[in-house]
Amino acid sequence: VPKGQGRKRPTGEVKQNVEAGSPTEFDKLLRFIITFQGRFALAFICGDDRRQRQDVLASLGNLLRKQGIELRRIDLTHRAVTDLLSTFKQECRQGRPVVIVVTGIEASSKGSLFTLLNIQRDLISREINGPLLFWVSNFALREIAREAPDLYDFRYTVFDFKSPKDSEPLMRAPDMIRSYFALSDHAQSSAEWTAYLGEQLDHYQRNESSLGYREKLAYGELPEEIARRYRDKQCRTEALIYLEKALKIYGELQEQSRAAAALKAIADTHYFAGDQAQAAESLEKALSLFREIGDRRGEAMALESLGDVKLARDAPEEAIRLMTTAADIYSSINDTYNQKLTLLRLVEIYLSLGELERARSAARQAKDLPVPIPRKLQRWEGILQDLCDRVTKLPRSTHGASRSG
Amino acid sequence: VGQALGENRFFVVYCLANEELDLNDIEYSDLLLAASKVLVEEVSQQFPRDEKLLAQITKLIRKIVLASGGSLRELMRLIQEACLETTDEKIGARAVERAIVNVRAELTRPMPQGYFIELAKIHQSKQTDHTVDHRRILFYRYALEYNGERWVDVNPLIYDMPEFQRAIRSRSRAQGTRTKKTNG
Repeated sequence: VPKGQGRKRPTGEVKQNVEAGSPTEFDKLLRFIITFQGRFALAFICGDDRRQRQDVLASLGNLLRKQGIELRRIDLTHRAVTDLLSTFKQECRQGRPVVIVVTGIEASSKGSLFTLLNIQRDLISREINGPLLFWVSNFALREIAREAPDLYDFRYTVFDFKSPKDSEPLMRAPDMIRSYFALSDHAQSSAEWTAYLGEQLDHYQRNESSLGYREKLAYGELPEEIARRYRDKQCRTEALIYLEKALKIYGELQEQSRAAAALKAIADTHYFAGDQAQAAESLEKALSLFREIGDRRGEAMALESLGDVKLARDAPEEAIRLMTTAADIYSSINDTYNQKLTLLRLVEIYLSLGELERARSAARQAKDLPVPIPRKLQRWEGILQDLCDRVTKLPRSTHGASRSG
Repeated sequence: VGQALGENRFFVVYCLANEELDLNDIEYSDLLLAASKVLVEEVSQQFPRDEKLLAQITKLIRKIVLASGGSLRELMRLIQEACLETTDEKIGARAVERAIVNVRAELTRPMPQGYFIELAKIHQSKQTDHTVDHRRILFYRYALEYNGERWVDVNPLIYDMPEFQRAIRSRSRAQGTRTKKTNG
């Protein structure tokens, strides 16, 4: 280690991993633009940091201006476009040396833009007589490589700008995931989709220490989504593993509302797997969290689920007490829909216990609520009517208002 | 190559591999080395005097050709990338190394992790089945298909990746366990 005057105090800044003598990404980008003046060449700039993008484009614009080259930026951040060819034609009409940089293409990722660019790549190459650059996030570039493989193959190169730790993401990670959910509706049930989510999870895991708050929230949403998929396929063990992971992440972030929802999902999974003791334990934790943050609806839902658990453990009176409290909470927050469903559950329990009067009272309350019964439970209309008409005979079958799993 | 020789020129190399090689009993590396050999011969015909420079170029060409897997598209991409990576007048070993790393990263960007297992399978059997995954693997050039007695192998850019090496080891272990069980 060199000593004396020449030694600099460490600044704590993250240094780019650049070998001595190797050009930086910025040098390469500049050389690429200058080399391809007057000729079409496509390249992607991959970078997730908004500030870094602004700085790089500003510096690039200044340097190119000195060389008589104009940098034209097409910003699509706030609009979803379906076609870019006509825009490119307009930009190149003046015939001056030009470099086009497209930013914000992520906003159009839900539509057919990538597919169209894939088809139009040859036309575009004939229209533009200079370098064409797309500044994209890592996520979007991956999507382009998958959704528009020929366009991606058309590239000269990819300039990779690593994000500093305190980066300001181009696209918030949860939005990115949601946008991908919307984009890939057709693939959502497939094993490939679950594998893809798993990969995303791996990616977050590898970079866990450098994740910002928002990315970490997305990191928690991923295992929840994977768990949902496993639960749909009745793979409850796998679902529980991922839910526990989500719970851990939300716990670290002190996101109590999300942690409580994850706990309730864990409890539901245990309930349908027949493990009522575990379900009760998780629900108690969820309940105390919902109460702590003052989430009344969450509290009512947890109480209702706890009632189901008590019922499964042959404690109907306990179940009735919990569900009545849940119905009261729904009533206090004007959630008449959930109140009605809970009352139907109570009617069902009373009927199964042979308590006609209590069933009738709950049925009247349910009937008076001004919300329609969901289509799946339509036959309850008849049951409630019968009960309210004071029939003395119990309905033959009342199953249907209970939780489905 | 042109830059490596200090000349601003390009070469077009036609590689008639099927006339020079016995394709019935071919090894993967043979074809690539043959391609490399043709390329080197072309270069030495142009610049036969500087033996030292030629030896250095030969080594780099050999490396870049091997990394391309014999695919001209990959070869050109690697050379393009090496040109961008060099600050000197000539393409050096570091630029070639960086080019290989960059092109590998670009190639594997959209690749699902699960494909490493499939690629290990392909590498061992030297063929693909007709599943969607295998068709995609060929489409994205994660594996390359060769003519003659049709055979397939993993793209050399992927071969050196630790994930792929792990997949091979885990597959070998799994096969070893199965063999033990069968024998035992």
